[in-house]
Amino acid sequence: MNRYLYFHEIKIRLKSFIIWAVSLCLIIFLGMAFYPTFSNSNILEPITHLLDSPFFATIMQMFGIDFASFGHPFGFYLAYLSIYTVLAAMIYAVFLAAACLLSEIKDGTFEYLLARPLNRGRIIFTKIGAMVSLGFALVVLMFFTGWLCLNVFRGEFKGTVDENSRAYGLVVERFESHGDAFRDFFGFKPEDYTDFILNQALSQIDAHPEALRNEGIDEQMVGDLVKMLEQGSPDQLFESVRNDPEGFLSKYNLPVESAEQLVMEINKTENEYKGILSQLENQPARYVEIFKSDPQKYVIKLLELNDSSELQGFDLSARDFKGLIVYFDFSKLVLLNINIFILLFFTLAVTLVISLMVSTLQTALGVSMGFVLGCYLTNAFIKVVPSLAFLEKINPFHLVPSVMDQISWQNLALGMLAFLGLGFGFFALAFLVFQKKDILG
Amino acid sequence: MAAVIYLENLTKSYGRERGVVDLNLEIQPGEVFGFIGPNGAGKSTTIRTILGLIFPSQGMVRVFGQDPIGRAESVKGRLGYMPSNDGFYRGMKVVDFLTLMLRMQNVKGEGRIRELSDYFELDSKRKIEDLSQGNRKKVNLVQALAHEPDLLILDEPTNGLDPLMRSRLFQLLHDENQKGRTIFFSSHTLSEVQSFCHRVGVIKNGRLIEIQPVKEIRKRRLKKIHLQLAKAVSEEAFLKALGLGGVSEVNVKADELSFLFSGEMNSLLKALNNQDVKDLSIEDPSLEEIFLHLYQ
Repeated sequence: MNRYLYFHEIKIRLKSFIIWAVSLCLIIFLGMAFYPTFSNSNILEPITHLLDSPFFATIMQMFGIDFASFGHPFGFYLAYLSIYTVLAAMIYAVFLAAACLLSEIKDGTFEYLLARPLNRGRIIFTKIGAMVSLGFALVVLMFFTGWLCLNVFRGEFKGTVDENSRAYGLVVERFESHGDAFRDFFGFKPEDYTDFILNQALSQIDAHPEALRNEGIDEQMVGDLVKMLEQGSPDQLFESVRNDPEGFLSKYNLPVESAEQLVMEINKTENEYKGILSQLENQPARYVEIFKSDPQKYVIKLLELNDSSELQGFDLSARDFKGLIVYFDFSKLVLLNINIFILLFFTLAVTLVISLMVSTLQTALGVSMGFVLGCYLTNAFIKVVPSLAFLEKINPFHLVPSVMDQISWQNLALGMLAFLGLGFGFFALAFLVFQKKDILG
Repeated sequence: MAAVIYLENLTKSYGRERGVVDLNLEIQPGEVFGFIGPNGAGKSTTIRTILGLIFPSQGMVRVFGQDPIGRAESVKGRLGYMPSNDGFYRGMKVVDFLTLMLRMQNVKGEGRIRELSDYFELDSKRKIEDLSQGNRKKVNLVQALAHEPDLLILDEPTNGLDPLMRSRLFQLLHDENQKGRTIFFSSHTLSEVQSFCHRVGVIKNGRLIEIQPVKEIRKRRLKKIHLQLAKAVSEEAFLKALGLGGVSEVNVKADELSFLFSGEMNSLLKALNNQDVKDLSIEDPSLEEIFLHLYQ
């Protein structure tokens, strides 16, 4: 590394860097400024229906746009990012790397440089260092713009409850220890609890329909019982079985031998049920389970409080509650931007190698741009052609997913390592090729 | 003493294009060497190989006794190079460019930049891209000279310089040489090389065909004579009327006539006295013409 050459490289590319960085950040900012309008359900609803058209749905899928995720500003940010911004950043990387050596040849300045007491290794190492620095600075600026926009443009989005946060643990603990206050505040009644238990059971049944069959339970009966429960209360259900046990026995295949036994079983169950209800009187903390099943719903209700003094009943301050809500996952934003940098690093390295294989700046730009656009479009096609799915992980653009769920270390770590490694490999190749290259005027 | 530049059987070929073939050359410390040849003869290729910009296909290059590629840092610390095309970084001011080049040379000597800029009447506050061709040449010159190198390699330094600046350049190079610096410079005009160099090498079609002390070349002083006569004559009639030796390459076109003359100028003038001359010019022949004369 030669510091004079390093700062010279930065200086001569600074003007174009500023133009690109400002444009890209402005694109992110303006796009995200559009989000509050989008988040309005009156607008989002009809747009979602566009996906009823298979043609439109396929096109949207190609670009990784999931309208369902538009309800979340981070989802919108991702879709927006994957359409324009990342591609534009890669085009900048191509310009940066293609010009690194070839603009010196084109402008006839390489001869001045190579007449200085610097060996070639130092020259190319310094030049690589300078362009990677600029690429890094660009990603950092894009990251901060994204972070700022996600904090500013929330529209109607209320945030989500982070169940892994310390605040969540604290709130749950206070609700449990202040059970009465908690129950009264939300106005929970025993029926709410039974509804909750029932819903949980139903969702279990929905999730594992085969379990019923394995247990030899009559599916028809379960369906009918659910219908009855939806229309009336558990008490009415118990009553109707007691009134007509014969009818039940003849209608369904039940594991009981006589009507008397069925009535006995029903009485037993009713007692258990009553027992739970009476326990609720003494253990209001059990209602917290309802809260935990859908904290989103109840926390938002709490956040809408105008007077936070009401929280004092739980020994909680408004600040404790603030920590519950996240508007986006910061670690995902960081991971995403690390990946944008890795993609950029890889693109720089590939373009530099290409620039050493051809003789003019125009050719290098053409070939490298073709490579980048090719990867980008293949990535789009791979998303809609299932038979091409095996190609997904070898495409560098898969590092920047457009769907929130795909952004995880688990999903991306291998690709990140691979493309970072390839980037280093291509830089090493460029380093070696440059050692043996004739510099013609 | 070891040669400053030493080339042994240097060959460089680029695919179809001609490079240089089997070139041997030694430049001694303190020498001023003129390297002449027509465009495309291999002058720049040789110079680029000396600098380690391109790699020889065969043969050996040593500068200050070292490999200019492997030992770039020590070789190039003592060397100043002026390329033939005056490249420039867009948006950069003259002074910034010159300072950068000096810094990369690990030399602090901004005073020398100012001195040289004043000497060549160069406005160092302007952007290089706004300068005229001649002024860019001056920037190129200053960057090669500013760090006071032991060896100066100048590729066609006078191209595009006006006569005043040209004479200033030669004065400066002369002074540098007096301080013991070695100068290697290429040109395609023999006359400017003649007045200034100790030795001259001639390259043609990639082959170094002659290395001679300047004194030797001066002995074979050759001039191109161009005449316009009152009436058309034939070649034979004219030569007979002139009655002189040392005339070659006669070319007659109606009343216009040209030839190369290597004899005594005085006897030519006397002989021309008898002719009805309307116009006369005496000029330096082109290199091509010298070569045709020397090697026919």
